Amino acid sequence: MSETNRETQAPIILGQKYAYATISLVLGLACFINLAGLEKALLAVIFGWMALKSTPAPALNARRLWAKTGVVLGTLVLIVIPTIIILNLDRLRVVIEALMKLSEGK
Amino acid sequence: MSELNCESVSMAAMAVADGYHPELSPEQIGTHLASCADCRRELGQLQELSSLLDTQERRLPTENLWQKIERRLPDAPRSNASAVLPSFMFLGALLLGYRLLELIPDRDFSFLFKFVPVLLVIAAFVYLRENPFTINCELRLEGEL
Repeated sequence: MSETNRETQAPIILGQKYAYATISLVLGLACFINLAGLEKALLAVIFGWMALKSTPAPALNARRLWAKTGVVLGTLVLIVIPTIIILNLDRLRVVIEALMKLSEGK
Repeated sequence: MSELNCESVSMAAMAVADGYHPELSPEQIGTHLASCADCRRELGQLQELSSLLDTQERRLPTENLWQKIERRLPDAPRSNASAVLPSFMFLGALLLGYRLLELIPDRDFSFLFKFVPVLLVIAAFVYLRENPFTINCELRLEGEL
């Protein structure tokens, strides 16, 4: 790689490493959070939305579909999981009670 | 009053060209120049040089150097990198404590207990005045000040 190319590529590489550093920290912190998988879905939507934003310029071209897929999958989980929980609240209560009895050895 | 000689006339003529008012009157300068070929030639050369210099443009600074110089000064404010590590270590210890607490059997924590790590993380970022969900437009390359 020529010196000029290296200078041109440097900000691009730096930007990607900065993004990886941020995601590493956020995911590391998310390891301690357990909200039925919704926390990961929320992060997917936020990061995807940030990648797709047109401001500040320039807009993302490469892997744009990746970000869109991430947003869609995250949104699906954010919709489906609460819906399932709400629709099956009674059944879930029975399941939880059964699991508690199991853990108590009854 | 200045003595009327070649030197004083050429200096007065250049002063007029620069927009100043010399001690010699314009009539005195004109009379001397009309009779002195050396002064006319010298004045012509000086005016050529002056017009050549006028065509030059001062190079304008393309970037603000002060920010780079300021960071090199002994009393320059340090970046908050030194404050980040202890904060993250403290946050990590708190999160680890939360996780261990959660693992204790026969403990029935309420659902709200699950939001404790979320609040801890938010508090840490508020303390550090950082937002991981913003795009930083002021990234600097390694080695760049």
